[in-house]
Amino acid sequence: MSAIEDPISVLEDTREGILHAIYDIIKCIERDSSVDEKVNQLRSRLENARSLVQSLKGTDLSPDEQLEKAEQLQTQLTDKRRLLSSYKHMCALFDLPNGQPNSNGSMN
Amino acid sequence: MAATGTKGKLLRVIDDMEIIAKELVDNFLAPKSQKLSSAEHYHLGEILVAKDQEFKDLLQQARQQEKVEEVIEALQEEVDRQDKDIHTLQSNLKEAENLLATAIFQAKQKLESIKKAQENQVSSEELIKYAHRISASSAVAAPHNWQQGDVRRPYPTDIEMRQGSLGRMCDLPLPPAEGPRGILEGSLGTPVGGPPSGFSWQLGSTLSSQDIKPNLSSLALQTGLETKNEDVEVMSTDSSSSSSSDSQ
Repeated sequence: MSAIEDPISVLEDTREGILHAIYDIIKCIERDSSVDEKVNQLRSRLENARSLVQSLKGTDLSPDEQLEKAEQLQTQLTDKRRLLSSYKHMCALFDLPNGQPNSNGSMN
Repeated sequence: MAATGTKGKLLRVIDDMEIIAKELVDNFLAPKSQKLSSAEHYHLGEILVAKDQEFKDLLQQARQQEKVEEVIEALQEEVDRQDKDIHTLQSNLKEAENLLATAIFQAKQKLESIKKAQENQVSSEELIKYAHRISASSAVAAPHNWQQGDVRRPYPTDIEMRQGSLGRMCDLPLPPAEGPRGILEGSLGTPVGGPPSGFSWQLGSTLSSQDIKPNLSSLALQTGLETKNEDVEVMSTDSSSSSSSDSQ
């Protein structure tokens, strides 16, 4: 598995692989052949699926909680932009270009 | 603990699928007497398919959440940048506030001085006159055009000493406007406040201190000054004569 590959796509494949592994085990039982290899295969796919799920980004929260978080950040950003704008306005009042005071520290 | 996040739900579905698969395999391997009925077996299969569908749906949800997460990350990055800018501007404004506070304090002091100056106005002419007077009498060096017999001296006169802070501290009485000095100077033949033209310092220098002292005592009697004041007067006159002789 490549590190660049999308983990969700890999999980889709793994999900199908789990079903196939269960099907293979049932087939092996019906044919009275050894199922150990297939069982190990199923176990490794399940473990692989678990590790891939752990690496998924943004799935710690539920979709509603995640949207709420995004909304909060958006509100925060709007407030901060407004604050920054008022600060810049104040700096303009003091004749401080780019919000920087005069190099000699004097206020003309 | 019930998992509320998508990650927790996915892990729970994987666990469920593992359990169902184990049940199915166990059922196939179990002896006939212990095997599940075909309906139960079918039901297990249905549950497995349902879990697989749930897994699929959760993965789609995870894909959408991944996109939302990207937006959240971008927002967080922007918020952090704004925070940094705000912090910089806050420190700049704080600096400006400090500078303004100093400027206001100095401006208030200046306004106070202006107010005081307006209350006690002094004309420029008077100031210049006073400057001339103190430069003529209280300078540390003689005027450059000083000549022998010139009444201008590079040290305070007796009257000025009496008028000064030291004289007041010692409670020295102020002599009359044209006191012994004027008379004394008059007796020495020096025109009071006039130019030194036609004056010969030799005339003054020929007078010894013994010659002056009797005059002073008689002056003290005439003006009604106290004896201690006389001493001061004599001392001052002596210093002037010695200073004059030094200048020769």
